[in-house]
Amino acid sequence: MIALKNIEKYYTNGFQKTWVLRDITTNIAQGEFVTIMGPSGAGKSTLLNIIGMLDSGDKGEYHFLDEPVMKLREKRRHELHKSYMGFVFQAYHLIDELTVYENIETPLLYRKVKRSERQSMVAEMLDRFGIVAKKDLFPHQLSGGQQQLVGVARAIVARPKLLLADEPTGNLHSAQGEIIMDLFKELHDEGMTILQVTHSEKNASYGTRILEIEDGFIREDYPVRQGGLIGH
Amino acid sequence: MITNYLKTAWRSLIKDRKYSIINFLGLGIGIAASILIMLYVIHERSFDQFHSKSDQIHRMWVKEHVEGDVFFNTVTPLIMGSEARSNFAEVEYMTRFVTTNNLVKIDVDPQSETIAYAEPEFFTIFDFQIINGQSDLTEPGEVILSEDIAGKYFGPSDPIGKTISILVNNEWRDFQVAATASVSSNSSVRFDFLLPFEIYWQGVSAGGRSCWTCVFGETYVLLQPDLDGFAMQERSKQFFDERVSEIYEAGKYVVGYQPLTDIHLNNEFPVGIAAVSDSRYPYILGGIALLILVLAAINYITLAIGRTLSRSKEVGIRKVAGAGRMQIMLQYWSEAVLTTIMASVIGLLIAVLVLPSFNALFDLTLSLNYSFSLVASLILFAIVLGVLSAIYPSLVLSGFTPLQAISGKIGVNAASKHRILNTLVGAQFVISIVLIVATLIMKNQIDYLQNTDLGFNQEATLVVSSQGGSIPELIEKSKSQAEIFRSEIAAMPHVQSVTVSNHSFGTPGWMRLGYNEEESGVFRNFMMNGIDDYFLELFDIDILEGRNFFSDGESDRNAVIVNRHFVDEYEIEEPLSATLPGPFREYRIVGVVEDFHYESLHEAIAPLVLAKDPMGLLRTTPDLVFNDSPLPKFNFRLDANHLLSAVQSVKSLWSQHMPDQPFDFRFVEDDLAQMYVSEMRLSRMVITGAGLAIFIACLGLYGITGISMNRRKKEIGIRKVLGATLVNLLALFSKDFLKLISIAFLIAAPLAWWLMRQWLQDFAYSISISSWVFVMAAVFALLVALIAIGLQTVFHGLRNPVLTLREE
Ligand SMILES: Nc1ncnc2c1ncn2[C@@H]1O[C@H](COP(=O)(O)OP(=O)(O)O)[C@@H](O)[C@H]1O
Ligand SMILES: [Mg+2]
Repeated sequence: MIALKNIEKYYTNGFQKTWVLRDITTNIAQGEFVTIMGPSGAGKSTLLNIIGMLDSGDKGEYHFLDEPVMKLREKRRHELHKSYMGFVFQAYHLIDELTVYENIETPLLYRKVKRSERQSMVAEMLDRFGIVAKKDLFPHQLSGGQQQLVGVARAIVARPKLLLADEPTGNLHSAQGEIIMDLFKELHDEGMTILQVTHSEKNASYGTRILEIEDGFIREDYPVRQGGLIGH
Repeated sequence: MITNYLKTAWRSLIKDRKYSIINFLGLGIGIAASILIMLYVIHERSFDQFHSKSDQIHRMWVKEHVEGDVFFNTVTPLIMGSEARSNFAEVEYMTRFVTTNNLVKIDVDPQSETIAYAEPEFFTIFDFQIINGQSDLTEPGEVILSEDIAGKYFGPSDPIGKTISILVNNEWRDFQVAATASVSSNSSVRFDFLLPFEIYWQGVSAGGRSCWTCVFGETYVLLQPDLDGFAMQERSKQFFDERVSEIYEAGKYVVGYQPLTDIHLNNEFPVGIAAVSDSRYPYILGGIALLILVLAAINYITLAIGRTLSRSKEVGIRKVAGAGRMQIMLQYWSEAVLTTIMASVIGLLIAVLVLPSFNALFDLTLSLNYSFSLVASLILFAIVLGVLSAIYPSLVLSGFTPLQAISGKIGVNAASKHRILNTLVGAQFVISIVLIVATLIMKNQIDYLQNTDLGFNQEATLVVSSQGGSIPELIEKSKSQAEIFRSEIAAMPHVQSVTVSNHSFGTPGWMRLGYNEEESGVFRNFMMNGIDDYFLELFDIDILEGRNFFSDGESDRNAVIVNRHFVDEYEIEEPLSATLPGPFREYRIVGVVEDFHYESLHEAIAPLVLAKDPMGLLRTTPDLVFNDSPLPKFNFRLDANHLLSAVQSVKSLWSQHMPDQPFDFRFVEDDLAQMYVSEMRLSRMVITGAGLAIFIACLGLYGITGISMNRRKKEIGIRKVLGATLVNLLALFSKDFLKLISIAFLIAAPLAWWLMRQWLQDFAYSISISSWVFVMAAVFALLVALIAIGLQTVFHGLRNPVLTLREE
């Protein structure tokens, strides 16, 4: 599904180039649940954003579903992003002026889904995440965990093939974080490809594979032994 | 989708209440101004359109070319219409339309009223709606009343069949009210009392009836369908050339046809009986409304741009959720359109509320009809305004990449954004300063017009015109009448003196006598007024040389007094031993008076002759123009401290000696003020516009300062902790705006100077534009800006710094 080859990313500061990503080469197949780990400033978010097409690499090749992303026009990239990807942020990033229901509905609006269909899709999400009672509340009326549930619901309501999550539990208590991770597991079991960034080994244990990044390089790339890490 | 846009829009309008109110208020005022001005323009443009055959109706005009001079009239000889009607099939119908001022007796006191006369075809040509009764203007004993005048004299009771006495052709005649008709406010052809033309015709001499060079009233014709005035002019050209061939060479006497619907707004044609509006007003008013709207739209833009930071996160999220650029722009457009539509509702409300004052301020009678087209055009207008205002903000907002937007790292193009904001706010100040300068200069000029020493004493001067009779006859009669008045006035404590003259002051202009110089053949002219021995004294006009007229009548028949300008212009060395020039040689100059303003200050003082025997000069002159009736006028000088009882005294004197003449008086001071009505009206428009402009610009300034303070909340907090006072903060935040206002001033000052110079050219006598006007405008703009910024500083500066720092 994702094929990265010699991806580089740098920022120029005067005459000096600061490298964020160097020589990133890896493949991620459909159905994998990959965790990106590494110290702060290692380039994890940058990599996630490049894969999610919110940012682009400066060198190298990126194939998504066999399409050469870096050579595509902006419009086509936007289409790919829209059709296949869902995003979850550390800071939830809900729209303050919209209710829970409307926040979840938003991606469907941009995908021109019919009204009746929209209603049933959103209702399904509310139901599945147990937040039916909260549907008319505004984000500031929810706890952090509830907000992130809405964030996840919004990310997957349009049934993306790939879910990208940048420290989704970073702002949450561990109990709340567990709920989110259980959800991810469920989604993965249903066949969704997931790419998450986290600092928590426990969260990583929900996945199938770990990529460790440091100073912009991939240091390690290994599978998670099922059950091996749980409970340390 | 659109409901989602509107929902978000609505909620963010509520969330940012402060800015929404600024936008609603500013745009609402702009829209209200536009609605009122639209009403005015529509009313002006609707003039005379209500006649079903309005495109066929034309008013005849005549242009006479005499020795390099052109006499252009829309009042015509009586014979012209009847000749056209009987010799051209193209002229399907014709009516002459004449008005006179007559005495009308309905109860007891005779009143002076304007009587109109028209022919039977009048009602075939025009569609004046008959409300009650019927009449075809063929019965000489019938009168038709306008709805208004019927209401005035008969109230709610039915006037049909009632009798009215009117003094026509020097005899009282009774007329029966046969019908009442409605004369709508957008009709050029107006009447209060309409009599059959036959009545007027009876009073015209045989010579007048067939005279081709005397003008009496308007002539309206209904031309064949699809025949325009120019074509008709061509067809009738040869005919009229032949008719006047004894007086005029071919082509020197031009007869034409002006479309009825062209009369109201065409200032190129001379005014006939139909009143004409100043065609510049719709443009000036429209311009002011547009400026106000532009100011309000700029507020919308600057406030929207100022808030991009707080809105950008939402944009970023939407983009990640799959929104394209166009969809983001559409969202901001719908928000803007929602704002403008709500502002339209507010604007409509304001318009309804201020319509009566607007009417009063500009002497109008407009009304709002809540029609579908009003609502539809208002909505359309709101949409266009919203879309235009939101183009730039939505381009900026939708242009960020999602990452930039979400993280709020949109400082990259902050510098260019800042420049655009400054330009917009600066433009608001340019407009405001120009309008303030214009207001001040207009006010100065109007003060000057009202307070300039005109060279004569205008105080407490009451004027009554004599009526009914030929001019020479009336002059003689008035002079002897004045003698009688004078002896009785001596016993009246509050009436000081009386004088008779052909023209008084505050009139459209005195007589102009023209002649050709014998040697060079050059056409020259001078102004003239017939006065008596008391005129100069009553009006306090200074005699520079020579003497006033002797009061023994006979001996001064051939004596004239001239003004200083006359002496200068004719380069007379020894005025007191000189005579008048040209054909007026037999008149000796016996005195020279200081120049005085006998006309409005729009006109320069010209050579002037004051004659004791105006008839002699009038008989001699080969050329005569007058805009003011030369019927002799009695000028009474009253005691300004006892005006009321003085007027009473003159009134009883009048009704005792001239019982059949109306006591229709006016004051010279009022008439003088009347000459500047148009300027006063214009200045009221500009003052109102300037006030609104400043208000809206300051609302915007208030908003944008608030935004920048919000962004610098933390800085304010730190500065306060370090001991900054409110004054320090005000200085900090107003620094940038002061620079901006200074630049705006540098642009506005020459612009305003140039515009106002154009306006001042309308006057022969005007103020010079002084620099303090600009200083005042700059100080005023600064002051208002400081107040707007100061309010925000107080608001933000009084917050507890610890709290704001914690918030960050
Ligand atoms: N716009 C930018 N300009 C310059 N440097 C940046 C920019 N964005 C990120 N960086 C740098 O790139 C590096 C990697 O950032 P990031 O991918 O966010 O790291 P991580 O998510 O692993 O903590 C950091 O050192 C960061 O300072
Ligand atoms: Mg990161």
